[in-house]
Amino acid sequence: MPATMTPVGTDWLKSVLFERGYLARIKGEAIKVYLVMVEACGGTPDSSVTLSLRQLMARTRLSCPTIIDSLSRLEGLGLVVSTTHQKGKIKTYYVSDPPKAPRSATG
Amino acid sequence: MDSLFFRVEHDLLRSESFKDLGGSAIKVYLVIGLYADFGSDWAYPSIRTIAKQAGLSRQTVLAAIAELSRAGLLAMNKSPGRSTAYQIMRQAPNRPTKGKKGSGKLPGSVLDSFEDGAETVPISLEVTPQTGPESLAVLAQFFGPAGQTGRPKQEQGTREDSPSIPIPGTPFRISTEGRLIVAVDLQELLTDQGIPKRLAEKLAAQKNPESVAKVLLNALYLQSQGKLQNGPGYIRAGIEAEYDLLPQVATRLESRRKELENSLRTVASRRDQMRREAALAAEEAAIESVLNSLEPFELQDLVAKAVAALPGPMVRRNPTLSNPFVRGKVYELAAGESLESS
Repeated sequence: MPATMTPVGTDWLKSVLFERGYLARIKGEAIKVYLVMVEACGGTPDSSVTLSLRQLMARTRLSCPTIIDSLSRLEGLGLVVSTTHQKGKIKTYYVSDPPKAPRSATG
Repeated sequence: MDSLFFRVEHDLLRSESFKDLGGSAIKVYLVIGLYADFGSDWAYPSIRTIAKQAGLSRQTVLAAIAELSRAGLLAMNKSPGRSTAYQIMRQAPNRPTKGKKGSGKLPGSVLDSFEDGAETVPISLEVTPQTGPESLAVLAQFFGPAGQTGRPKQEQGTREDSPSIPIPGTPFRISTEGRLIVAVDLQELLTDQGIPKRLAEKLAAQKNPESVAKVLLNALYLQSQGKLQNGPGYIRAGIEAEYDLLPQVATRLESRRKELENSLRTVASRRDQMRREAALAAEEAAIESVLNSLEPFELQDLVAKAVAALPGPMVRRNPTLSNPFVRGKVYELAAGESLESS
């Protein structure tokens, strides 16, 4: 399950976590997953990166179910957006620019 | 603030400790990083502020802070009646953590230390200062108990022309640039720490003394933490691989270096003050000499001219020679030159 992400900048990340209040909304271990995904983007605009689930597990030392659950939580918050490919079961995650007023967490 | 936040985030992700930290600890780390002062890296957010920003309970924040401290990622200084100060420790080494990540359950002693007003928790080294230059343990004097009272005292007799300051209890000095200065026989020092004589000779000859000093200081820190099982092995490997200072050690050295800077600044300020006083005394002596050389009627005439020449507010209350402005002007009129300080 690769996760492809769009680039982000430091100001953007700070804005998302603190000014838009998402840090308080991210529950459990999802912050680890989110930070790894954001870091993998390298802060370079208009670029994407692909991370396998195994890589995410290695970087965060979290279990597979925890990561999947974390991704689901992040998606619920609008921090990542997933798209399922037509062929196979590959799910791709993009780091998105969430709205100012955070939606309630579903995860 | 932006660049610091960026640095904090990257340091955290680069650290091996990241994998072992729970989500709450990471959130607390980021919040403290956000509040850290760019110059000093110290942050003073309250537990309530951290809890609010991170969306955690107060108890969870306390547990997270303890977790970060144990991981060597955060230093804390708690003084009664003052805000608790936190410092992000960058490039923290990988440290074994006893508890499971994110468990939130910490040893009572660690949690208690946040509640009972202990002065400084994470860097307390619990070593008894000893004397005797032969032992590595003498370096413990430098590390000593942490906190204000345990900090190395500022050297009283710092030479004005010296750019370095001794690290108490160690054979090393630290310069204003933060360089470790080694003015001892390193070979002997290494031999005393259990390094074979021939190897000590080789290391002392081939390696940078500063690198050796760093490893020795690290060794003391680890020893005081009870984490140094094989001292000679660590020292040998550290010197060969040129280990850098552990963050905790580096913090203390930085504190010592700042003391040196402050000391030099004080000395320079005192010197300037003395120079100013000497200049004033010389000026006064010159004025006195000129005034003594004048006849009373000449003096009276010059005082009248000086009072007339000076702005009203300067002489309205005291149009006599006891007024420094009048004295200066009289000197100027009599000697034909103005005073430098006027």
